[in-house]
Amino acid sequence: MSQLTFETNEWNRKHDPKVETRNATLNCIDEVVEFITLLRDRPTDKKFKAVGMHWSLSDAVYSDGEYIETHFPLDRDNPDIPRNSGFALDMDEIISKQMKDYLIQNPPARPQNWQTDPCLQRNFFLPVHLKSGTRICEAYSLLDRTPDKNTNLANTLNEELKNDKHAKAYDGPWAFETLGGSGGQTVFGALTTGTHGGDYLQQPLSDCVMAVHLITDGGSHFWIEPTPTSTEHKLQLTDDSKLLEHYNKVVPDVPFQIIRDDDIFHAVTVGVGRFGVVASMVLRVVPQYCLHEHRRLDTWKQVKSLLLSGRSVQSVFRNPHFAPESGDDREKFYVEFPDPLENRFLQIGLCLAPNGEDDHQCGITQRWFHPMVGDKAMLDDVPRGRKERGALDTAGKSNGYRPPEDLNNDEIPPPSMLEKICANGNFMAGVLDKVALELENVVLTGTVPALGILTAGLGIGAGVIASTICAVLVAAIIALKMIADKIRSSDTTMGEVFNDLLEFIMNNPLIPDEHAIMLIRCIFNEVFKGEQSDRDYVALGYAVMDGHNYLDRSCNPNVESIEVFFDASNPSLYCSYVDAILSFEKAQQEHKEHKFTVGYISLRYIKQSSALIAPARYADTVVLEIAAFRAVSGSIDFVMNAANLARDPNFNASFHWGQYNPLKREEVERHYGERLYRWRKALNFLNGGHNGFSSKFTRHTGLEPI
Amino acid sequence: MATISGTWTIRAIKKTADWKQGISITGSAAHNGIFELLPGDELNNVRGSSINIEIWYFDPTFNDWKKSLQREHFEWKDEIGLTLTIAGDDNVGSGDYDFDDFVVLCVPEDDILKTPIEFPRPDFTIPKEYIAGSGYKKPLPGRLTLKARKELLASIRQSVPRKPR
Repeated sequence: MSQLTFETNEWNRKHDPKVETRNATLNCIDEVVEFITLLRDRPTDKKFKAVGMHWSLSDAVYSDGEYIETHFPLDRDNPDIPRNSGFALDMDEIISKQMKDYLIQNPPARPQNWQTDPCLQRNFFLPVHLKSGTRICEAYSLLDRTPDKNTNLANTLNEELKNDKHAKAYDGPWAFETLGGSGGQTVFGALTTGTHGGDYLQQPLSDCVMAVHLITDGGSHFWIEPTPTSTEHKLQLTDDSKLLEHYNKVVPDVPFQIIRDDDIFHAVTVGVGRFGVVASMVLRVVPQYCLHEHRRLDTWKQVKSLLLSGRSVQSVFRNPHFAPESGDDREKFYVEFPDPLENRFLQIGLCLAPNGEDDHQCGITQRWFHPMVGDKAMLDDVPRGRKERGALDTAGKSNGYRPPEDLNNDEIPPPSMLEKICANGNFMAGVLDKVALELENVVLTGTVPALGILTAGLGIGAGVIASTICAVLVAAIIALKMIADKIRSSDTTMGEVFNDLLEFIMNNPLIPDEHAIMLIRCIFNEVFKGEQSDRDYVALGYAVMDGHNYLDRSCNPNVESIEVFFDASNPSLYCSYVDAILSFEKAQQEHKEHKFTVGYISLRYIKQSSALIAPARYADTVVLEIAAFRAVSGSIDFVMNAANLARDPNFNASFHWGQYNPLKREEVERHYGERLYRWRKALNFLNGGHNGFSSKFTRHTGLEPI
Repeated sequence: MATISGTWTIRAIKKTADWKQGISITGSAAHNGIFELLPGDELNNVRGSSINIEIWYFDPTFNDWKKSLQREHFEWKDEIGLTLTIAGDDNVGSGDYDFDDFVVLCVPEDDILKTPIEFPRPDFTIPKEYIAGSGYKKPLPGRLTLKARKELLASIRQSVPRKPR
């Protein structure tokens, strides 16, 4: 079946609370011909929007009318629902001779022989043609399962090289150059909204696209590539006659056009669904690789001083980071990892609760290329992470990867920061026990340990201790133990635990507000310390980058999140923004209402995208993700304040198109200026006067023709 | 050139140069022009959607105002909110690049950029005298007697439901 149209009253975005479902008419399609026919026959009063996995938190995903579903996320075992996923027409059918010759002349080494990062070594790649509804996890699994899943192009290239020392060079496995923190979205859904990783030497995901097949309102369809002279290797990707042979007569009398134009190409890649339906795209993939992930705890004041030092992050964080104040273990590290390569990734995760120095703990995560050889990368001759995350039965169906060394430790939460909030609360039970034990000792001995949780969370100074402090602590101990036991006896998420904590501690009449805040801050700091604890491990790139827990069913509807983009060359401005939102959290905790946020701030760095309205619009861009668990009292206010501040013209931050995006037309125009004009011109050219993909969101944000 | 938006107070906070120093403002609603300033002087209610501020100095050789080199630094201060410090280095071409000839501080008047924190803030630190170790002087108030400790432990065990084993 290539098209199934039906109505539902349960349409929603993945992150919406279940009560916010909508009535909708869905057109699930997996064939080009059906996309074209549907759009050719569109009645003038009917609007469409193409959607993938409903992963977006943005209103950009909403249609004024019906939906075109490229990968309907529900009823996943139903084979009758068409999903536009997997490999599309093989590249061997359409590749140009000059590109094919280039690939024959530049065969990649076998992955085991890689000593330099294939994502930065730009000569070796393979173009693969994927249907637009292919999920990221599905795609990296497909690419990793070569040679079983070799494309015809790879086989043809291998045939040309069979008597050469590079025989089987195109057997793969292959990989994406970069990924965001989750692989659940469709590849095109992610890249067309500006999704990125934290690889600061690389561009966002949209810049791996080499061509797209677009169907616009009215049914016209276009094969779109950048101008060959502007591409890295100055080569035309496809052959016109072959393209015409395959696509010109898909639906008779519906025009098909080949376009090689930079502006049109870079408009459609980050097109936010306004251009029509992309049926398929060609992506540049590279030989499979492993990554070493390295994480250490530090403090925001210390990290901020590095960011403000006048040196670029690429320079400051080039080598593995160690924090002198929280235990510098570099000697031990270099014994285990004698030759770490140059770092290419940076994430700075911040604890929202201040610590005793009125500072904030930071988790510094770095990643760098690791060859697919040796015990660190391989286990029983299989790259680490493949069985757990990339195999047919685990890709998109498993928890985030944990190195085997961690598996016996139940207290270690999943790797994705967003999901830590929602993870099973067992981790929290351990923290609460630890805090309760320290409090018991304090009550029994009458002294506070110098290097304990309390001093770390509160600091030593001139604070005031209530005369009834021991009785207060007893009340706190009882509350903490009750919550810990509740966690152990029921399936409680970490978010629910935080709510219990605030209820039992903050609203406990026996605990004065000041002491309740002290205690909660200590606990939050201890939780963060556990979440961002030191770690070093090696695994396949996708197992490291995609930290999503695909088994979670409770977390995602409960998260409020924004991503805002700043110029990384202006650290005093974006660090001020971070301090401003941390200040808001301090204020709401200390004000009369005593609201708390359960969430995090993270900073990641990327290169500018070539896409015209990609939010990564600076040569070096820093992306701040601010996410919080909706159910906790202060979370929504916290995220909304962060959004309002980011919109202030002094900060002037761009917003991710796939996350909460409140921008108005004039703000979008201020951000993108002349590039938006070129984007609109491309929209004019491709859509003419048709408005079938116009929506309330595109009109509000000015993503409309000139 | 520094660019800010909204309503701001611009305050001169440092002058080490002998020559007259000031700022040039363009893009504001009512404060465009060159203003000679001394430390402590301030311009209030400087308003506009795109206010451009430059540090200028008066060059006696040419008997005219000239643009200094300048550096800008944003900082969030919990006591104030977002601030912008603009530091100038005069005598362009022959300057000493220490950027302390003249410095102004821009302080926001719009609520969104002001600190949300109320002062004085509660002090959550633990007094040194209760910390085990060198600074320890006295036990926490309300310290329990031996009998009370035993009762406490018992009460904790009783009040917390236990999983059946």
